[in-house]
Amino acid sequence: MQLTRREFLGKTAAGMSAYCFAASPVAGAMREEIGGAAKEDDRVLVLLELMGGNDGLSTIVPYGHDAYGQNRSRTRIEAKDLLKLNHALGFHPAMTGLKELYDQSNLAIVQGVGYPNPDRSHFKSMDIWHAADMRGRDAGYGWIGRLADVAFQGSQDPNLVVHIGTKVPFSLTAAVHRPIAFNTPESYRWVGAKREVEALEAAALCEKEAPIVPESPTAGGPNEGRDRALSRLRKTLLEAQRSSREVRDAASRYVPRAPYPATPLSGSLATVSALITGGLSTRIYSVQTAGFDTHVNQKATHDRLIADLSASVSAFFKDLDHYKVSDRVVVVAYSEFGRRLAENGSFGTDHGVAGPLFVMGRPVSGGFHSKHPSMTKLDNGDLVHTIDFRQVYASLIDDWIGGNHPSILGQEWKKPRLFQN
Amino acid sequence: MKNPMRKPRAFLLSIVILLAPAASLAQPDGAADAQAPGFGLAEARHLLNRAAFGAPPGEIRAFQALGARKAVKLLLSGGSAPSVPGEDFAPHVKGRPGKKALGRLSESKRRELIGRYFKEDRAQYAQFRAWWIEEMIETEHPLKEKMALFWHGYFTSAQKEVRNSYLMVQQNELFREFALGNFRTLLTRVARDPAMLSYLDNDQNRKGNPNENFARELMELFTLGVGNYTENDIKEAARAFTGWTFQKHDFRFQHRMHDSGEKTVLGETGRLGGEQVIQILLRQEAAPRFLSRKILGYFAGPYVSESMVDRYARLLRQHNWELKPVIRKLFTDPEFYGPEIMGSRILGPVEYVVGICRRLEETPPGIFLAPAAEFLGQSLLNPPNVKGWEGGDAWITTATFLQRGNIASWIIEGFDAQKIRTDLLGENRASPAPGSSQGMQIAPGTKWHPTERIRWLLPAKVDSAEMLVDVLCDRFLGVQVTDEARRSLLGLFNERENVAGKFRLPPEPWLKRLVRLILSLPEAQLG
Repeated sequence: MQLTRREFLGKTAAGMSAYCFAASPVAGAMREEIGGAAKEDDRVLVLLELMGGNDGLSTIVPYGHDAYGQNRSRTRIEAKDLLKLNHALGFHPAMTGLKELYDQSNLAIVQGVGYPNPDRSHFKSMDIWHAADMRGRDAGYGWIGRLADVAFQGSQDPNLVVHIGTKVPFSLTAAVHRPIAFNTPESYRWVGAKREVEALEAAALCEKEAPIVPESPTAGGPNEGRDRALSRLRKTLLEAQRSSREVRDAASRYVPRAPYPATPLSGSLATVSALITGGLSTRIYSVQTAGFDTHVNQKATHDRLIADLSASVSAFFKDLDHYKVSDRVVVVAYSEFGRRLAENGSFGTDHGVAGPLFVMGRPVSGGFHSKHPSMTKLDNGDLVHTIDFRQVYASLIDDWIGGNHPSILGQEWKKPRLFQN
Repeated sequence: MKNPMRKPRAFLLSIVILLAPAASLAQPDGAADAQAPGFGLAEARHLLNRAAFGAPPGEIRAFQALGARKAVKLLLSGGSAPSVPGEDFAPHVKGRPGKKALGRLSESKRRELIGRYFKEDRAQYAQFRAWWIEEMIETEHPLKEKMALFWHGYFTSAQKEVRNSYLMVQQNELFREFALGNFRTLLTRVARDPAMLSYLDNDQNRKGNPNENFARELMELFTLGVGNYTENDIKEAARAFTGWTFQKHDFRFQHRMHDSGEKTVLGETGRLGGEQVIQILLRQEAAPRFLSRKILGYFAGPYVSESMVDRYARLLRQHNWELKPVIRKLFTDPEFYGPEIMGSRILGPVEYVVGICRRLEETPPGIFLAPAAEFLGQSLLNPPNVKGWEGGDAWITTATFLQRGNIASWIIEGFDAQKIRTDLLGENRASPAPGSSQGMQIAPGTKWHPTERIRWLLPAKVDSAEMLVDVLCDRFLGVQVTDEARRSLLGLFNERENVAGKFRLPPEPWLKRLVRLILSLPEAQLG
């Protein structure tokens, strides 16, 4: 394919002499090889991270326990306002959408999720969740990254793991199947005329100058630092170019078919819906929503966040129902820790330990999946976990994405029964 | 103040010319030989990448001619730059209306007044971010801005939580004042800083009802790092900071709220107050290592040896936490100029954007540049969380890599807000997902047309494509271009045109696109 410089310049260059340059056809050919429409039975996992440490006790409220009211004199939610689940527990009043999912047996509540020797630092605790390893980041790669490297071994598809947002969480870091990331499909590209962008792509990757991604850079060479960084950068750029068009194509025909609230979380979930319904081959999506670190005046903030969570997730499933794809999508919503039983002096709550986790979707086996932590036998003022988060991961790996959890998590875990059949 | 006054553009080069021996400037290339071995153009470029925000070729040559010692001295002292933004950015919105102003008003009037405050406060926040990023481009003391940016990521506070831009500006002045000062003093001042007291809720930390947020981050993120203290140390330290709060814009110690009882922090017992806890923390062996690692990560990059971390930890201790001698030592340390450190560092979004402008010798409006850096993952005055920005490889995702090229094209080629919106929405007509934003928040009416022409940045006679590509790579890249990228760029030229005597300089729009391409290269993300 020959491009003239006039084409590179577009209209602004009209009348110029026609310097010619060649754009490599490699980028185009590569795009043809990869991707392709999703198979009907491709199961999708959506990770929904509630960042900051969600107060589980204000999410599933243990109104039947005296200790709740005693320790939460200023942040408690009145029993009469709750959406009751049983004689002791009720959903936060704003969780009407999730209550509906619960009533349809499409919402699994895993209570008292945590891990031994809990860390109360947001970052260390989130790292532990992301790594599924008590060493946190020292484990090397995230649990989803390790799963992707095994489960999708041999695939050249760059779209298998997608993060909505620009900052990739540690859970997705991988040796091979690194995630792609973007804010919105429409903006996920180099701007400019089509041919200009193709020329840009070809030149930036030095496509005519194989290898595109250099082998391990020369140790001790005069540009060692630069070359080590460059080999990573070129790989990322290659993946960006390969996925950009497919992502935009998949989302281009989407129209939301459910009442999403106008919030960033809803925007992210609607994007996921657009890509699933558009046939992108992604198996794992990652979505985040922040603000759960409610040390001060918790109620107003938490009410708003929980209402957003409930309405957004509810709309997401209705949307997927409309497009008849909801039987292959599961959402897991979790947070790095719960909050302390006793409220603090600022109408808020401090970092705690165990908290509830939700697994949601049509294929899910709804209801309660573990014991509520004791409200009286505390460890240093904190709830003691009744189930390890890695037990939930084990089920997601074996029973949903498809894999063998001990090879990912390093040991055998007893799994809760989160899925029908 | 609606339009922050900008001082006239003052490039470092002007000072360098005053200081440099005339002969060495007259013959910059020949002068290289006269310098002590080890500080050539590559080293001068590296120093200006790390201690400043990159520099155009003239500045690099001038600094190289000065030699390492004088160059570092100049970077440490700066020119006549103002020490605080107040000298040319005067915040006029000074906090939420108090009880006095609201007391007698009706409910609706109150709400109106508070609503107007938040609107004006957001506007002032946007103006200040714009001011700061323009200052990074134009300042005579870039190392100070670079340090202020470091402290902003280290001692984070965020406008979205504090919701008082006056306090955020005040905190920024603190980072500027102590940019290269004494860490112990800075830490003590930060613990009393209203924006920090508000951000980490210490204004809510009261006797009998302690709030641990500040005490925890003080140990985890400001001094020691995870693993060097216990949960009990945090609880006890939180008690020591009870009663530390602020009123309007000033620190205030409230005796009645302070728990003056006995506490034990890291094995030391007494009726400890906050200052004493800070001294205890700084006495720990972990403290200088923690700061050393952070400073080296920022200036030297990801491949720093453990022995280097130890060495600089000892220096911090030796100099009683004075930063200037430690930074001076670093910038003249042969290890800092080693092949695994030079060129290894991935630029943060602010560095990437500011670097383009410094090399272009232009200052596009800050009200565009600050949202641009935010779009790329670094929102000035709004770090993502208390840990600041993760930095390094985390800056580059598939999304931000592509968007960096787009930002570069808008800086180089110019834009208006409508063009950016159209560019980002792309060929797809479908409306964006509900609630989602395209990520780029630019005020309507924002526009930019560069006055500089790329051809004006070139030597008088450019007689080959090789020369053109080399000159532009030299100007716009912080590292040496790889051979394969250079050949790729040359591949854009028609071979028939590129023979001796026949080469004609391409027109300006083509040159701009070539520069955009250079700035989209993987090489352009390094410095």
